[in-house]
Amino acid sequence: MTDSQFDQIIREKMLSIECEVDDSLWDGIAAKMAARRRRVVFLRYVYGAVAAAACVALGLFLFNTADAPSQLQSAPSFAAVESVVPQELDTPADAQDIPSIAEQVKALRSSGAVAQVHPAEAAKIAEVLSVISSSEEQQEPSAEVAEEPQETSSVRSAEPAAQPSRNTYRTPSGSELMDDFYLFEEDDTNKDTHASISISSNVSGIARQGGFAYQMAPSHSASATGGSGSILVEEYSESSYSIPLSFGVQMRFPVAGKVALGAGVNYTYLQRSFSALVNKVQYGNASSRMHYVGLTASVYYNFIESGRLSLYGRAGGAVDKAVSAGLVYGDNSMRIDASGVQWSVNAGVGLEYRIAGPVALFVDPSASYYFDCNQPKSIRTEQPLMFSLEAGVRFKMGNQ
Amino acid sequence: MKQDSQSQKGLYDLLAPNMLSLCQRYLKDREAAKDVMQDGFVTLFEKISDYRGDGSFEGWARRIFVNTALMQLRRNDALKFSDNIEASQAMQMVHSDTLAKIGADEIFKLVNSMPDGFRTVFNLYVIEGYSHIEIAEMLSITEGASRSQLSRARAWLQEKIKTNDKYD
Repeated sequence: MTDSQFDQIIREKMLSIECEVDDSLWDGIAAKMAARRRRVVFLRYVYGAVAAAACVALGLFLFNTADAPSQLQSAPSFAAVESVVPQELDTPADAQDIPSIAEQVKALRSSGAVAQVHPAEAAKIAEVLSVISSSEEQQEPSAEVAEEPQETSSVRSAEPAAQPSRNTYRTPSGSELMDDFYLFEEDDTNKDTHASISISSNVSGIARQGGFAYQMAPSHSASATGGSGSILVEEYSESSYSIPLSFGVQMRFPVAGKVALGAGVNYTYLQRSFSALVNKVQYGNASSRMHYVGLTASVYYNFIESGRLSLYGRAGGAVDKAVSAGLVYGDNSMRIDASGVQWSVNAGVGLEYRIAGPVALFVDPSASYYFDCNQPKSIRTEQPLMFSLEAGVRFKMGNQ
Repeated sequence: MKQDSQSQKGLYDLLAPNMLSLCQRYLKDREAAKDVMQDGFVTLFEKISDYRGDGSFEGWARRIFVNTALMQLRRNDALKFSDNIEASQAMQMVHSDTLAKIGADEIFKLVNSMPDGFRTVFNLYVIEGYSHIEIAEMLSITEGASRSQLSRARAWLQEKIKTNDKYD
């Protein structure tokens, strides 16, 4: 008898055996299925809640930063000081003027830039200075008012993004002159935090033949070094753009049949290099470096699903916010204003290959169109229609 | 949902006797085999939408139960194989008449009493029909080790049959 004959006889005998099965086994399976269903539902809620919370948090971050009034610890110029003033007051025009001037006075005291103030404004400043001085001498702001400004508020300003210390000042007669008047603490933390926001708020682009020039203020506190005024950057060469690098996390939820919705968070790094004159000093190796964080939303449609392979199409949009943007020239650097957000739309097709269990690899070629949205110059503003190839790993979670 | 549950129960009634037998061939302990069978059915019901109709449904289902049993053996640290591919000692084959006299239950008990490594490879090759390449991949061993384990399992089984007087 050969091995295969031996195997054949054994196989037939073994397969002829059927074990008796009692009903308690099915009850156990039903219980396990129910427990797993509950876990899947729970996980879906958790993933959904986490994704929604992340989107809301990032959305608030993006839009609040974009809309918040610029704040300045110590301003290099009169124009910059004005950005400190809360923007929306529902009080008479005179009352609105006062905090603006008072802010200017405070900033001007520290910056030494009084000479730049218009003569008409200077007169107002002198008047307010005298009011403030006499107020400070006659009556210190009460602790209660300082801690609970809402109890004495008759005038309310728009809330700045970061909370400086609050004080209420009164006229010599004791009447309330202004409320929610923001003075910034003279501590280093506050200085660093606010300087980069406000100083970069007054960037303006100027189109020039054969180049692009813009004016900006240094990222470091101008007053700290006694400097003031802005820095003029003039580009005198064509830019060369590095390939944008992105990575992110996305969640996809099946909604009906072959349709799924996706939402995620992406990080992108953009860099361009050029030659520039910075305050008339030549730098041949200047580069702008921008870090964007964005939210994406897409609709997916599965065209083909066969075994481990699936082919799908997608279309969607994204909103990106620059979380850091800077210009590096020589050994120096400065911040570039990149307020607001950049919107884009995109569409593409993707191929997914499930390698094992819930793990799949995908490649996703797509085309995106970026709207300008007053963003700093980058490959996305100069060449808004871009083609990209995403690749990554996808994990299937739960029983989807 | 209720309809799903009824369909699942129907499928269970159809497959359970064979699948419990399959699980018992891999796991000596009957209670452990029952647990594996339950887990196998849970996996089968979850993955049933993956079945494309390419082969027989029972073959596809068996694969799930075999994989579930192997996972359990790995958890128990029972799948340890020696890479020693020295050929088993040549021995005279059991006569076919002798083998024919032995009942299925007796064969089942003998196979079940094999050492874990022998039993696993023997079951995968002889009963399920996997090739040595497939077995090597499933058990993370070399193809030579799979051949060696099978050869030894056969020799072990024939030796047991021969040395037992009641089969003569």
